[in-house]
Amino acid sequence: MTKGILKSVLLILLAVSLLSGCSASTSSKDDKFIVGINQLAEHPALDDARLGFEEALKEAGIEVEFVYQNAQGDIPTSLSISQKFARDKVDLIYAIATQAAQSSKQATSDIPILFSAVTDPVLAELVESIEKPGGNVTGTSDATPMKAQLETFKKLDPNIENIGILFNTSEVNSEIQVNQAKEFAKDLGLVIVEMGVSNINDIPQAMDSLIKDIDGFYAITDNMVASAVAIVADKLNNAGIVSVGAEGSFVEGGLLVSDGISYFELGRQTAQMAKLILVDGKSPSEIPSESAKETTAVFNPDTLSKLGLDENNQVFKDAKAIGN
Amino acid sequence: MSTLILTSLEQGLIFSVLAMGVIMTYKILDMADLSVEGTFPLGAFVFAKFILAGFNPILSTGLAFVFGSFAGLITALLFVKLKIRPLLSGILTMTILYSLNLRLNGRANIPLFNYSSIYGEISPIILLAIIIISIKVLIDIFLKTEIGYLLIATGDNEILVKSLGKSTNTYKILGLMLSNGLVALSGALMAQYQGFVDITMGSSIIVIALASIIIGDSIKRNSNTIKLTTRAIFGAISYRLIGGFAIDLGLSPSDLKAISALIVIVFISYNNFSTPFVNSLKKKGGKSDVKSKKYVEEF
Repeated sequence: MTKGILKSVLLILLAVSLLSGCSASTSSKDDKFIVGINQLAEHPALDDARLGFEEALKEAGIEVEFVYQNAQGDIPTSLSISQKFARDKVDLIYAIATQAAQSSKQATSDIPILFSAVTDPVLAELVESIEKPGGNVTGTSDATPMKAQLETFKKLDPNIENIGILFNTSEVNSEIQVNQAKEFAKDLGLVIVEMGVSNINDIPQAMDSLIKDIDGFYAITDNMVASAVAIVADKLNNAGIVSVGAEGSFVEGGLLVSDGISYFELGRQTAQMAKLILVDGKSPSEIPSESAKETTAVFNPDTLSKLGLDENNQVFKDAKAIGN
Repeated sequence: MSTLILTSLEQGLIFSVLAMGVIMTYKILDMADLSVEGTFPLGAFVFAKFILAGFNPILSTGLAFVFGSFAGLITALLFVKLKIRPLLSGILTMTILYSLNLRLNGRANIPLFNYSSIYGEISPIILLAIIIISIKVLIDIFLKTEIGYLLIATGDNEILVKSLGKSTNTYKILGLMLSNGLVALSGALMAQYQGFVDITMGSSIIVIALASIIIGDSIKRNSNTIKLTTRAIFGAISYRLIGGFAIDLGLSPSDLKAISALIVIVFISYNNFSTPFVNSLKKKGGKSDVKSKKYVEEF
């Protein structure tokens, strides 16, 4: 039996080495900081959080080598990636999205971990409190200035009342946001019509059903909705429904307007915290977690003309035109 | 490198419980049961439910097995009583469990960092090895009992079982319950290992299970002496090691999934074809796969 196992192990090694012949080596020089990036999945918002972080660190003139790994949405893989970083003793782990941050926290309690794209780091038990993280983990939250965003609907048209929200029932961040939206809606005289989906393939039908009951659509920072923004925007624009996105990439994908966080900026903001840890030698336990400091207002001119809205409305005057 | 092997072993041991669960249906009953995609996270959510309520981790892990078995019972009843095809029964159960898992704790992600786990005292690898070997021995003993033989026979030759005046349905229900119980147990072990529970834990878990079983089959495939459970354990560990090496080598993240699929293809080809190269790797040749038939002969 042992021979059989040996053979299998050999076969595995052979297969892996054949397939990885051209992969890059992760070893590096001594004078560089090594930052392991553990990203949960690939989609525009998370990619932006990574790119902004990388750009700002390079701009700061810090010699950094990034080791980028993406779990493609698979949690055991995310955990393996975290364990690899812990084993390689990287100088810093940058974890993008909640589950990636949680698996990094599980893998190491001494390597500093910075997270981004986590809505509620306290609820996810990544930090003890926003002001005093307490452990080896801190970072930036992607909680959105939701109240201001919902107010946009009334600015666009005072008669708007029913606001649709599409969300993935498997994302804890989305649940939190839907509940928050309901709270804010009460004060603003809006009614939230929620539509939960569990699979990206259900989105077209869910939108068809949702469109009948709403006069405005609010896109929360939901990974699944972000991935399907094109079809969501298409359905809304054809039905003549105004839409507000929680962040800029939704507008790029075809929604009308957004005054919200930019994941790219959020990544840049996280890079400042990385600088504090790597260069100034601060401990994550003493660096408070942050929310986005700057918001960026953007609108999609194509959607604007399709919906036949007045581009002199204050909402659009303050915003930058983006999209195709 | 040694820590890589260690962590891959730990994860592999956890997934070997999953694989041993799935051989009950996939290998023994010859049935594709997709409900495991729901029962794996179910085990994790049940564990979270009880540990949050103040139960001790060992009891909570055991309860995960019990609840998993009940989920298996749902699939079995859909299939046996309502005559829904096995594949669809599994998918239906999986879908029900998705909602149930969300309802169980009212949220999709539960951190467990601040709760005790079974990994408290002893190092995970030793504890897991003890648990997995115990489970393996128990299953092996079970399969040697009269009920065990009848379970195997149900998958191989239903007419034979019926001719003995036994109901094959009873054994199908039993097999599905045992299978899903083990899968849920695996989910509970994983939840404690990774420190949190997440609704997406179950997605494509069946691929991990089947890949593990297929790799396990390629180990000395003509040997009758290697038990199904042993194959499942080695398969699961090998699959995790492959994943670990792929990550460690710094393969492009976007290629990772395709590479794991390619590796499974390599193993299946190794099982299916005899080339001079492959033959040289094999110690002795044989023509047909007689693994499962053996049990009937013994019976």
